[in-house]
Amino acid sequence: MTDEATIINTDSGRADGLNRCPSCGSTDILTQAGGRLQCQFCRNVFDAIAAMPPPTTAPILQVDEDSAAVAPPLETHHSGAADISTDASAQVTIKCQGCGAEVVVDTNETMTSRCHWCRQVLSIEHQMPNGAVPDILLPFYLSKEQARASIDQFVGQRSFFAHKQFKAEFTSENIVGVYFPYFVVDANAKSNLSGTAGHVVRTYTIGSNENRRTVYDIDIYQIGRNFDIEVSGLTVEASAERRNISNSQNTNNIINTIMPFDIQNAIPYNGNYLKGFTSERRDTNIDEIRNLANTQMYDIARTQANRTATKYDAGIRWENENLEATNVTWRSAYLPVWLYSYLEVKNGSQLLHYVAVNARTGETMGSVPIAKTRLFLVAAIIELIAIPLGIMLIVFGS
Amino acid sequence: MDESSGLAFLGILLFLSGPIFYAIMYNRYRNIRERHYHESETPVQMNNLQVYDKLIHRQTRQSTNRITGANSTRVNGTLNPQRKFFG
Repeated sequence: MTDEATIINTDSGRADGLNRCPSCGSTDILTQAGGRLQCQFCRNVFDAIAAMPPPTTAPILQVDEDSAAVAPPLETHHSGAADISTDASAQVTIKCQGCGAEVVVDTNETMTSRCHWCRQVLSIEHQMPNGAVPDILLPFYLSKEQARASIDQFVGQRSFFAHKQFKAEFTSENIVGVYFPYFVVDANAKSNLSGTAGHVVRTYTIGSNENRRTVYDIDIYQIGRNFDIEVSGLTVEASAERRNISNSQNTNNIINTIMPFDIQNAIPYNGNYLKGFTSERRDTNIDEIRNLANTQMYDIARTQANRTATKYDAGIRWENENLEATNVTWRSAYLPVWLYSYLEVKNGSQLLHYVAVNARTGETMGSVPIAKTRLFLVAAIIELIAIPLGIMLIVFGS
Repeated sequence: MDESSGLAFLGILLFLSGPIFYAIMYNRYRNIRERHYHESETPVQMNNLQVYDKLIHRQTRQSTNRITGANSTRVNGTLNPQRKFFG
């Protein structure tokens, strides 16, 4: 964490344990399609925002002791994005307010648990230094049935070359809803880019017979772009495992692909939204991904600059790129994904395939195991048919 | 591209049709190149734009329609490592 960071406390102030329905007091609450909560006892439908106290948002500003003046907030961290303590345990013990029993919750996988004595549902509500409770979350908007339909359609469109065993074993019935941890970065920055660009002004043919060739006249420009940008909701994985994208070992790029989420609709964390879903605990601190987020900011700035220079059809060579962030805010978030997974075991190696659905936008992406022999044979048949045609065209062309 | 060289190019393309089909199908099923396009999908607002464009000179009879070292489409912040297409 940088010394200049301003901290905003987003802890709900609620104690861990029972988080009740505001109408009947039951703890059996689930998220229904559309992202609202529904009590499974009295059927009351409600939003947690109305039922919970607002988070403390007053910033704790740091004071420059030399000048006794308030330092400008270059970087702001919401408290749910605080560094993870090295001695913090993922196992949290909650004392049930219903019967007094102690219930252990493994925050690596879930944030709620049912009391084994009185059967009430307990949830973790207050922020702790193990990264399990974020600042914000997006509730599941798509129902399991809607996600299953998307996954069935995605896989169904890829059945011809799908591996035989996969086809025999595939069922979307056991998909799981998972809250994955992310950092959300909002930033204001001043950007300055300069370089060389080209514009094709004439295309023509020179030479004769065998020396005939097409050439181009290109106007070369020196260009520069200065602008301010406001980036809202840059989203980066806060799990080291999810950031590990290795094509031969996993298909984590599938989960990466279904971004972006509608971060603007995120709500303060409330454990009721996690009931019925699994979750993955954040294991990454801001300093570990600051460079990655910064590099992505440069990419965003470059893309913006490109959009102001569409005239240059011969390309742009950016030679100097500067980005000066004036205000950066970091929040931690749980974002919802419906996930189907399939472990392919082949020749002693394993590859975990995912089909994932963004539970907010419905964007679906997946990796389907391939029957490579079948695909190779079809490609070979196409090749055998195409070769004589290719020879004919080359002969005609010469 | 004149007609004869166009036919020859098409012929070469047909020679490669088997591997091309394999690659297209492989990527359609495995989606190994898919990723989040953070550079274009992240909401962003641009303000106070200042533009500087100055014509330096004209290069004539260039054999390619691209300038040397064009890098505007480069993306550095992707999680995907450089890798073999077939995984």
